[in-house]
Amino acid sequence: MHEFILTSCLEDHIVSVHVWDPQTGTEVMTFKEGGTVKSRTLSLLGSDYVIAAQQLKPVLTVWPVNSQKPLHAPRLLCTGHVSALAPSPDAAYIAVAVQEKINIYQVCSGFLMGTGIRHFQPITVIRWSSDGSHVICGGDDGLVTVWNIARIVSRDVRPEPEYTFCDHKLPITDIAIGGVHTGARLASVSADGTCRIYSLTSGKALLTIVFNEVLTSVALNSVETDLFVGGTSGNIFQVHLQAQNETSVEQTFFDPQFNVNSKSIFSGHEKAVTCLSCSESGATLLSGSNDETVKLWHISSKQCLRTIGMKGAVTNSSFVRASKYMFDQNELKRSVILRPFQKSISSEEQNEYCLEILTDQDISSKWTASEDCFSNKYSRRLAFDDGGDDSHLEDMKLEISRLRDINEKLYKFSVENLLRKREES
Amino acid sequence: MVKTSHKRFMKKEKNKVKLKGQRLLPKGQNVTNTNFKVKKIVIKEQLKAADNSELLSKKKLNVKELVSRLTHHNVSMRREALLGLKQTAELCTAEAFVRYLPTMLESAASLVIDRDSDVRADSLKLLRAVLAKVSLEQITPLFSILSSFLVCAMTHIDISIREDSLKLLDIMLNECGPLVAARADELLPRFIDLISQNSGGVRTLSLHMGGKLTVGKWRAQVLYRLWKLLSSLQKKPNNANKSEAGCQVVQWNDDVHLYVPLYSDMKLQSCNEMLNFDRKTGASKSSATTKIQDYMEKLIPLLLDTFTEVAPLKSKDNNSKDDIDPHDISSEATILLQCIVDIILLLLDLLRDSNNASVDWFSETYSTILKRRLIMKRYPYKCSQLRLKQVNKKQAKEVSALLKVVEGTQQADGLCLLQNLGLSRLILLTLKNDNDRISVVKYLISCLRNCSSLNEEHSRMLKSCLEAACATDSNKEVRSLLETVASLAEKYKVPDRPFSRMLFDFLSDIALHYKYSYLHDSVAFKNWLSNLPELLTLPTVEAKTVKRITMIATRNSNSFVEGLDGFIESILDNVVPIKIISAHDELEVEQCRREMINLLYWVKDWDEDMIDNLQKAVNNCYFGEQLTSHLMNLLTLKASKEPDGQFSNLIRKEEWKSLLRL
Repeated sequence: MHEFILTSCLEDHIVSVHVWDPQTGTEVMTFKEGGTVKSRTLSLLGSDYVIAAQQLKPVLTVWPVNSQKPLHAPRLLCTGHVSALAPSPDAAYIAVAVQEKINIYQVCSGFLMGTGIRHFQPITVIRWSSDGSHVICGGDDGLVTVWNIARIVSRDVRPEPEYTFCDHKLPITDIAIGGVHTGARLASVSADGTCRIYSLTSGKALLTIVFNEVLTSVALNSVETDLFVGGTSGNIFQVHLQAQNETSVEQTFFDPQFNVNSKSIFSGHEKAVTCLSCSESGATLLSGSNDETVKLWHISSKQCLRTIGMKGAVTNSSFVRASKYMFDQNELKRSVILRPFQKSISSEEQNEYCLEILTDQDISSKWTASEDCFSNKYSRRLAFDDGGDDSHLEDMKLEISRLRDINEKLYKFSVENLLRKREES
Repeated sequence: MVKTSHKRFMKKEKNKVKLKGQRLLPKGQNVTNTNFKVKKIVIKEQLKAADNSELLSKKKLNVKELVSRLTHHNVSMRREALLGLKQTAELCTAEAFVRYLPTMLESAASLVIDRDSDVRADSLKLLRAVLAKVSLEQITPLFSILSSFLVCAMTHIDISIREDSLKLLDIMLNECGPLVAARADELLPRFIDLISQNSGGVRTLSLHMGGKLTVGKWRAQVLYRLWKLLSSLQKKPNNANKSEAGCQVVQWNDDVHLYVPLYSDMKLQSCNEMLNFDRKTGASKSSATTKIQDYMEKLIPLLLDTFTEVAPLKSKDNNSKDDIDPHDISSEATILLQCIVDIILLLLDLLRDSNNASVDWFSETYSTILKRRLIMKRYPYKCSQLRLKQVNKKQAKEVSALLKVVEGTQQADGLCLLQNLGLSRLILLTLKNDNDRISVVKYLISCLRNCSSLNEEHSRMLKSCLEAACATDSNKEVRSLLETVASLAEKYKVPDRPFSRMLFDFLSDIALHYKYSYLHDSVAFKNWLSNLPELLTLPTVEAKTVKRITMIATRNSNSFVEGLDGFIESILDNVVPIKIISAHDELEVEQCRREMINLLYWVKDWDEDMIDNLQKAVNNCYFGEQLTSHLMNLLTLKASKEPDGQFSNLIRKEEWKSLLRL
């Protein structure tokens, strides 16, 4: 797998989204005709599409990864202006925030599967847990809500969030979720100058870090050993989530001379850092800022490796995992089906609607194979039964003869007592 | 004579055996040893010198001796020993005393069931002194001894010992409440035994004959203790579930690497939490729900019987001359009613904590009987006897004696406020019938109107009633209740007294919680919200109030924002001179000031004047360096978030652009 950088910025009227190679700093791909992309809405849908929300229209723009022009056919029209957007890691659902509501759309059918209502003010950021089981929203009201996707999708009841954290006093500006393990941590930063870390499994508040400035972005590395927080001053602060002498595997691997004396601030940006992202390896950090640059940092030495100039304030910048030639394949090998968004699903449709699934595996052979397997098992079980209990068979034969006797008696009795009597009367 | 005697003498001499030959002892042995050995007589213990290392009572007796004297058959010896032990316990340090704790406690506790009442009283004094001295951990391993003696006393055949057992329970609850709560399963059934007897599977109230107390007082005492025990049970889960406890707060410092180990042995921690309970209290958890249900089944009929016995409902048909008001009950009945309602509510709360669904079970099983026995025709209660206490001196004396029974925590009032409020809550929680609820809401409204000077306990009770009333669907009455509350809150604006604080807490809860959002369109409530920012313009304010108000600001309520638009300038003027009280430390005060500045973010209505004033304040650094830079950051964020907003349009000037780094 390879990593690329997706960026978008304000004031760029031609190109909506840039794709960069972090190794060389070359522009790999550009996506056009999508207008300016709203912040916290740009992401990759599966490995096929790049999806983003427009600033001015309540529509999601979708580009196939190999084409500069957006798709026109499935029109992803939302119920209002989109303030945040995130597709699930498996590309099955898209979570779209329209004002205070979070809508979950099923990608392959386009149905609105459910709506979560809890926020008092517009939602600013949506994130998915790495296993796609939970979706986490942060809003202008300082609330962080954790929703179980199964609860929203099942639509039996009015969905309730799993947890509601109401500790921030000013708008949530960013949320980061670490790790691939089940006990993942959630970090939220807010304009009130605090960064708070919660456990997603227990819903407990673990840590509060108080800064002296308005915070605008946060990132966790994939093993959750380091937390990066960006503020309006343009500084990025690093917090170690491990004891000082404990060096993690990846730290010793990537930087044998772990330098303790260096400062834990990345300074270089002149204006607020709006987005932060950590590479998969945990070695490089990506930051986008209002000073119209995107910077790549080497984490342990805190050097700025590369600066990419943009035309306006950066709205999105993030690492994405992709195969090396993803953006320059001639023919797109699709694995995600896109359907236009529909308002809501009616109750009749709910019972009988079908999904389309794409697969590149030979299903027919799989079917037969599994059937074979099944019959094999079945016959084996039968054989086992036959050989096992002869005594059982004997018992059953006895039972049959007993039943026969009883039946006979019953018949005789009824003939004598019921039929005869009637004749007599 | 002389001759014969001489002769006889000679004869005697002759008869004597004469030694033949001089056999001399060998040398060395023929000398008489004139030396003699001296052995000291050691008197092991006669008078012991006072050893300073040992604990001694005023009579210079050590603990071991005193303990051995506790079993002495003489009453005064036992009392003296108890007194001595108490003196030692009071004099010495806890560390020195702990060494003797196991031996001493057991024999001291055994005197709780002594026949002599003076000895019992002394042993209780001793136990109080000891338990006050040692820590909870130290007493934990020995607690089973105490509790088994307590059970022993509670079930004792001697009636006065049973009476005294409650005093022991008092001591134990005061000094080591959590431990008692952990063993509540053993103790609870004993309470039932104290007031009832089992006759063929059915429990009936038993009489308390021959004791010092009357039946009514005795039952009041028992029930009051039961209530105390149950309330200690309720506190237990609250402490354990505090999620805040695990959260550290760290201040960022630019010059220091911040290491916050969040990952040290997570798994161990979760195990620890499970084990902690066992380890700390030495008792195992019970399957709560079914146990409480069983207990309720036994107890509630008894409680209702008790009340009926003390305040029987007169049948209406005998139209007697002294027109008895069914709402009026005796002072004894009020106290019993208080205990009964409190106990039922506590049990219900416990049930709710353990299993939410079982509340339905409760209202199904008991709603009708509760309604018939406690509520119908009688609610709300009053007690004219208490109201008239100044008139009749003898009665007043009686009443005060009665209040002493339940330690006088309840204020005597003729209106039976606590009782009625408790009943209101019970009705709201269990009865689904609209008529009942409406009458309760009416009562609450009248209560709110009349009692502006409620004390803390009343306010707390009233608040839980209001919460219960607002928890379910909104009918007209609930709305009118809210209107009343909000208009009252308008009247008693500053939350400085228990009553007004309660109003503030309740209304801010309504504003903050999503489940109450259906109530947000009430007119008086909106009015209250819009006037809320005014609190921050006062010269002093509590830290808690600031936090609540800034929290409400995030909830995007139009009326609050409108109010804020009006008050924001005076609030900002007030940021520096305002006095913030009851904060934990200086840091929190600073935090509160910062939060007041945060309110600026929510302002929607901007004008040129305000922008100019702000600019002046920023240039003069009116708020101090840190707060000013925070203010600038905040405005930058606001401008970037709403590029087309009113604020952003107003600040398109060059000087602002340079200030805000746009």
